[in-house]
Amino acid sequence: MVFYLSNVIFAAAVALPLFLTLNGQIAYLTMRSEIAQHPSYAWWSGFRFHDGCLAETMRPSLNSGFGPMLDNVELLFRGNFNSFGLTILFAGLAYIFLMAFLNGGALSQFIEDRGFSMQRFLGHSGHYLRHMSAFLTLQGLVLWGIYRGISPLLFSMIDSVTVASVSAPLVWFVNLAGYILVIKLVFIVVTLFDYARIILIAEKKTSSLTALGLSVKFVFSRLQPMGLNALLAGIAILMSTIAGTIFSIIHPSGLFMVILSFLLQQVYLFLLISMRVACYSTEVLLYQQQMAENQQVKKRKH
Amino acid sequence: MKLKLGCWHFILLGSVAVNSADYSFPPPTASYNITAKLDAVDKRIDGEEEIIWINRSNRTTDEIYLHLYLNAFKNLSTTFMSEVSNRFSSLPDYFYSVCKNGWGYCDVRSIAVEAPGLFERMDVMESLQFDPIDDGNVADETVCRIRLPGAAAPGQVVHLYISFTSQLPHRAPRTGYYQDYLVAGQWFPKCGVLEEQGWNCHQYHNVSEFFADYGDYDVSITLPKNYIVGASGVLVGETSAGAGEKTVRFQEKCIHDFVWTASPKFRVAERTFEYVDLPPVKLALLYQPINQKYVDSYFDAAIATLKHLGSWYTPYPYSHLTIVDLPEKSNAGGMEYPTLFTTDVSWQVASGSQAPMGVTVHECTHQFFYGIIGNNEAEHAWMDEGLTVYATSRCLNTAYGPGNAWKMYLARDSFGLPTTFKHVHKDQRDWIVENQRERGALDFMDKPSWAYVNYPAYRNNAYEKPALMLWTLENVLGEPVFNRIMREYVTRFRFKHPKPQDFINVVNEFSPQDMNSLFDQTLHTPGVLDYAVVRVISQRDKGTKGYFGRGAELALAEKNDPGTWTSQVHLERQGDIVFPVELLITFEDGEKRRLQWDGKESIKIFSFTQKARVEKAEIDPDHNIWLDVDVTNNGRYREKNHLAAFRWGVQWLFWLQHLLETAAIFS
Repeated sequence: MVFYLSNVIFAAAVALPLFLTLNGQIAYLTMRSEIAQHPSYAWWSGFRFHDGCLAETMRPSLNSGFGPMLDNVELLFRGNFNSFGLTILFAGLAYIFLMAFLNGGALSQFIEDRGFSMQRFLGHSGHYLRHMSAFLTLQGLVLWGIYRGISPLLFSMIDSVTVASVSAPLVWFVNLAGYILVIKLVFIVVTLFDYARIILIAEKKTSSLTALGLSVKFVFSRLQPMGLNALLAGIAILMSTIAGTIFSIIHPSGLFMVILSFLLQQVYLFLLISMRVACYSTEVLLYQQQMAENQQVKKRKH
Repeated sequence: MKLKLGCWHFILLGSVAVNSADYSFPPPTASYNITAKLDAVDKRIDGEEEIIWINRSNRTTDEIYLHLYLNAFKNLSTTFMSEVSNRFSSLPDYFYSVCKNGWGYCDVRSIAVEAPGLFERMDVMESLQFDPIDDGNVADETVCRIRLPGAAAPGQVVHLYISFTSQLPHRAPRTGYYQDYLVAGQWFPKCGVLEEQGWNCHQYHNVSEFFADYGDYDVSITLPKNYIVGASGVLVGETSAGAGEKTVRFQEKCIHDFVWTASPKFRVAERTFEYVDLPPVKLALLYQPINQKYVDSYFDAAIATLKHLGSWYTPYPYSHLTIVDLPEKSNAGGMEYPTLFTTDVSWQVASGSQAPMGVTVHECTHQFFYGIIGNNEAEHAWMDEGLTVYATSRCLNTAYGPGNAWKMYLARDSFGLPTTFKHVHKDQRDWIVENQRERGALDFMDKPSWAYVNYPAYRNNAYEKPALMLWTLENVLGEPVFNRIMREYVTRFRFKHPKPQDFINVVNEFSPQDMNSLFDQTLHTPGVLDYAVVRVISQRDKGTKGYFGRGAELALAEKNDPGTWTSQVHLERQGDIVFPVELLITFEDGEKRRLQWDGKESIKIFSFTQKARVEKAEIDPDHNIWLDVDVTNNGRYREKNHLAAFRWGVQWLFWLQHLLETAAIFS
């Protein structure tokens, strides 16, 4: 709930100025009924041109059930988080930092497995903030390296291989494979840093790099961590597919339907955020189980 | 493959008879007999040409100007390449392609002239001089002139005998080769145009296109047997040239350029266009095997263009038309040539994008302006591109209706996941307005292409602004009147190289009102047109008090009529262009009143005092003025309603929340 509320409050704070701009722009227009029904292309292109800043992030894809989600998935593939302007970029960075702060508390909560106390939660969050920030920075650098170094290199290699090909489907599938490889790399990096955070807290390490080293050893020495994350990602994709389908069916043109759409969107987001938190708890559980098994094996050997 | 090739030849040969129909072509000015041989490995062409040039001006000349356009790709110092590197913040792909993989040039090996009754055949190679007529760039060799041994008076015929070697550049715009595919455009020495003011022969610039006299072409090309060839003109013969080669011969009357394309990988399809009173046209499509699924789309688009433009303006005068579907990576892009145009389509397209119909209709529409009118594209690009964009959007709207907004996810070269947003309709003109809004203040329309401040200014003033001006004219004058104007313009200036004033004269001749003001503001000054309703207010009439009457009836009184309202509608001219507009006022009791405003003032206030308040006010309620860059501010209610903002605020909030959550996986 803390994570969800953070998300709502944070997004609402950024959305409010846009809503006021929108309202000031549309509320009196004779086109407002048309705009309430479906996005008018003429209105949309004029709005983003005249109002700039956040208005530039308004686009027809938001009208589609899957549009908002697909736009964000594309960001994961390409890493161009600044493509929506500085306001969104800074909001995103601040939000990630806030999440990094909360992660320390959440992971401690799962590792200690005691009843929830806000005081303890925030205390742990503050205690591990330094390490979580270090992980965040390091992870950011690694991902930046992937998006700005490895990915262009990979696609440049793809281009050099496919430049002589006149088979468009072949070129298309090779490019698709390139994107899949990029997302796989991102997935591995995220998994490594997830377990580094868990190891740091569970093993009470004082060095983030040591924890990261142990995480690399843990993740690459067994299949379960990747498997678990793949499973959780699969569930999230399934959930998003169902949600996107529902959003595609609902046409929010009247007030009631807009409210219904809003509520369903919030339910979906709550579930998605819960999935992320559940991901942390299952990762903690998996790590603890694996460590316990290791201990037993060692004892047996002794 | 052989069977298909055979069919292709049969079709083309069959079309010769149709071509012999009488189409009142004017007498030729510059005719070309060319024999060329392709070195398929190096993509080099060795050619011999005879130009039969007739001085149809009223001035005497002792020199002849020639275009050698392939020299634009000769080195980095040419005007074309310099402009490319100066005008683009990031250099286009073809720049590197030409630099790294293959330069292009047109080298004149020898040149002789002969003028019956004036002088005998004589070698004039020594007199050849390059003339960078536009920018003085001595490194540019795209224009040359030769000195004649005698002065050619009006009506004099001059024969030019030229030997040349043309190297096609790699993946260049409008010409070049890519692997074993080639499109030979601007590949042979071609005469400039002698006008009353002298020779009109511009260098090859980055954005400008072409201008030449009409003439008859007879071109023979020798190339490998397995190459499938398409060209301007009708294939009149094919003979074996030995050693795995063949010679194909094409002829056409009254065209002003000649292009040919060849590749062993082309596939061929054909159709015949037939429609009530219009003459039949043989259509041939040379397409990439991968684009088999688009064959019908290509033909449908070409047929729709021939049908609509033929009915609206003038019948397509040639017996055949060749559509060339380019390889996706060729870089040549959609381009018009006489009786042949190139077009392309991506392997994956969004269903709402109307690909490949959009490009196909556009290039096919050029056949009616670039092809039949033949105005100077370098000096007055808007007369070709602008009219073409206007007629293209008209044709697409008529044939296909509005499209949908779409997006190509993860788009990169030859890759993308197309997604159509079905509920977001996009009129064919919406993108034109969008571009005009962004670039309208850049420069003005009637300017040589190379003189625009930058590429967006060229695009806007050659393509978008004139198209919107024409749409505005059509709506203001009415479709029947404007159709008559266009038909008269095309018919009157068929094959005559008209200038802007010719078009303006035709408009004013048929228009009930003088349109010079609109032309002046669009052709000669930068700026956009934008009118807005900025405020609609009403307040109850406060009545009046004081002394009223005279003499014995003079008395202190207070007069109130609680049922009367005073409403005000505030209008603004937010753009530079002044144009008369209509205002529709709707009152609460349902009364509607139409008013006229000359649009001259920056601010205009209309007041109304009556029982009903103004409910809403709309400028240009029938959306006639397509030059208006923002139609959303054209109408305003007196009272606000938050539903639309709420609906879009919610959608945007959801996207942002999801974005934050997506980003949070990195935390």
